[in-house]
Amino acid sequence: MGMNSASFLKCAPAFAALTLLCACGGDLKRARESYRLGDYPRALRLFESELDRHPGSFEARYGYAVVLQELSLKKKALGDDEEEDWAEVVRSYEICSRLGGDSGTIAENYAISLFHLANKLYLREKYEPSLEYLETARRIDPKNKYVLNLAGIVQYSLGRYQEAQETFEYLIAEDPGFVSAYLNLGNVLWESGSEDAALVTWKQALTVSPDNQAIIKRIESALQKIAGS
Amino acid sequence: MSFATGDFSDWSLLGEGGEAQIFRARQVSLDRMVAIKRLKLSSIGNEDEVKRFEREAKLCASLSHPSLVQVNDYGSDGSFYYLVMEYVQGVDLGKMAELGSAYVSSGNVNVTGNMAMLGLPAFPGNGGTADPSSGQGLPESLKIHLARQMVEVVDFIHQKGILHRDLKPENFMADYTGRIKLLDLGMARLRTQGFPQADHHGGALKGTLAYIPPEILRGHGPMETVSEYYSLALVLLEIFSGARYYRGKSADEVVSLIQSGISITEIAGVPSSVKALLSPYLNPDPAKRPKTLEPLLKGLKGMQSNSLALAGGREALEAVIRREQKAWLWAMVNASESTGKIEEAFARLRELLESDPENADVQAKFQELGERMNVAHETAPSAEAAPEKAPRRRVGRPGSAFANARMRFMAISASVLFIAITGSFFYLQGRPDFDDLGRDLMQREMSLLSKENEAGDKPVPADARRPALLPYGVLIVTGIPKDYRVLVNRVRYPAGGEIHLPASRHLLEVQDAGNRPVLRDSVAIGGGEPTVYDFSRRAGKP
Repeated sequence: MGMNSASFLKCAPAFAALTLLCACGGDLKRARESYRLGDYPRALRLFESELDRHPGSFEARYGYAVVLQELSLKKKALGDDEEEDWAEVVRSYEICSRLGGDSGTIAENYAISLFHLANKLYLREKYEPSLEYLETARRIDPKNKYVLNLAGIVQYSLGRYQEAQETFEYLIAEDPGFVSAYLNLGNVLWESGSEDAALVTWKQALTVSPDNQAIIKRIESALQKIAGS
Repeated sequence: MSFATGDFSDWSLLGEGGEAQIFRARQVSLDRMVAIKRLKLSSIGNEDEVKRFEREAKLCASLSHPSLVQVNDYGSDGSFYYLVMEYVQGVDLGKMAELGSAYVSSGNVNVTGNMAMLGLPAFPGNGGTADPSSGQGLPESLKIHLARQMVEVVDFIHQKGILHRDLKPENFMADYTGRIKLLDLGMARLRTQGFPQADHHGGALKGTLAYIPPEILRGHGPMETVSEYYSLALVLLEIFSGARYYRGKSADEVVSLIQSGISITEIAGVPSSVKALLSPYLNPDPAKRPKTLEPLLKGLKGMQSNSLALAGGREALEAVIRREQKAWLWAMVNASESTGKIEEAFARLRELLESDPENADVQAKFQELGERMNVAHETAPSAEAAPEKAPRRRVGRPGSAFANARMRFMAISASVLFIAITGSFFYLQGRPDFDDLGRDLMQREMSLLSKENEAGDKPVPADARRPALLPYGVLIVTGIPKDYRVLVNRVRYPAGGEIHLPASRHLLEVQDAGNRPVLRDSVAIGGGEPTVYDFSRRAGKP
């Protein structure tokens, strides 16, 4: 009994150290709580404060990037998001990814933030840099079909019809239920002069999504154009 | 026509052409490897391509010969057209023709053709181009063995009234046992179907320019069996000599060279007996070529009976095939790695390492990917499991060191305290919960993107943004003879079925079996009852 009590007492310093560590994680805890409550500005400040003490903390870096992404998303919902907002989110994820930690979702969120930045650039007709970010996003999260879809759209906008066609064909092969890819592939084929192939592609989209108005309208418009020519 | 893609797993791209892709896949229900040819989506709208694909399936299925690839299934899953075929582990003879006699003995196999096709680097162990002057190659006995089968299978399809129309080294494959397989009957035609139109369809010659006989290039007469004899003889000459006569040259150069003919006597490295057999078939004048393949076949059989080294030849062939397979696996490793499928890449690398354990590049890659996988496993979230491990070990042996009830109580108390403290530490550090929050954000983002992409019509041309939405109607065309085709607005539909169209006026065309329009009409489709169009009543009317 005595021996066991002694062993138990030997563990006390370890417990004390753990308790101390708990106290040190206070900012992270508060940041997380603020984040959960939707108080993003406070969460951001607290993650920053934690980063001042531990610049190499993966958790703090990831939290900081996630909160920045939430803030940019909020702006986006209001139509106020800017290229710089997403560039900052991307930078945060980029630093975070260098730390070598793994939250299980960093690749997905990093790729999405790159998608948003690329989308802003695409909307401003900055196609070349947009495509570069999308290529990075594709390397980070090859499964993100929205990244590929936008990449195809940007290739299309750059007049690279063949590349765009291949991107959309790949997307359809990977996910035959992704209607956007059919619509966009049809558009590329249509613009390339392959009208029959475009119509077949859109009709295939209708087998996947029979009531999709965008597809129905596109087919009708195309048929009217053919009938009128 | 319906095709269950769910029955196939482990798809790997074997190669890709202009119109189709070829995959290797496992057929789950029968647990066997198959080759699947899939028509590219961009070709589906091209009726010629779809017809050609169907024709290939039907022709292959109707023929039975050990040197023809067996077709197991054909159909469409609604998106793609598929042709499921026997999977042949082998090497196409194009590679032998390219590298000639140095192919095996030098140990340098040029696989850049395959790798460039896949957009991937060449296999490190095979790098470099063979030196055609470096000596021995596949033994003559094996070449004769392969040539005899090539002649036999071409003779077989000719006897069935079929011309292949694209004979070239790449369309012959040799398997491990030295068995030849003739591939790609997509261009093949029955002689009764008429060759001239097919050969000059739309003004463009079909087939591979380097193997088209001079009379077809000059536009003299239809493709005939004697024309194909020329192509076959040229292929055989390339296999024996290891030279490509017209490859890598411009179209004009090829046409000029083919028309001037081959000086077969000047070709080095081909036994004179083989030259004597092939020479008559390479005559630029089709009228002067032999009328059957019998003399060639007889000659090759005679030569084969005199040869002794077939077994050694097969070993050489096996070596070539193994190198090709390694090159292909290496390409697949790179493809999997570049798309982030590290575990898949690792599995293929393991397969590669088993067949080539001494290759330093493969070993290095194996180590690199292994380390990356280990890192991934170590950094995977494990905080939830960690706190319980140590206490479990301490109380996990009841009845040995912890027989005393008081001691057991102390141990349990310590464990509970330890779990509580470490648990609260991780809770306060927040990592497991934080993962959830990151996941929540990711899921919300994906959901938002999905909604934004439902329309997905960013690049739709302006004219399509605000079209009038019309109700749909049904058109049924009756009285169509068999083999006739129905086209509405230039899109082909199955005859006799319901055709769903917007309620509007549409262009209807009916074509005969030779694709000639026999009726063109404008048809108004209403939004209510189906519109029935009786072709038999209207045929012949302008």
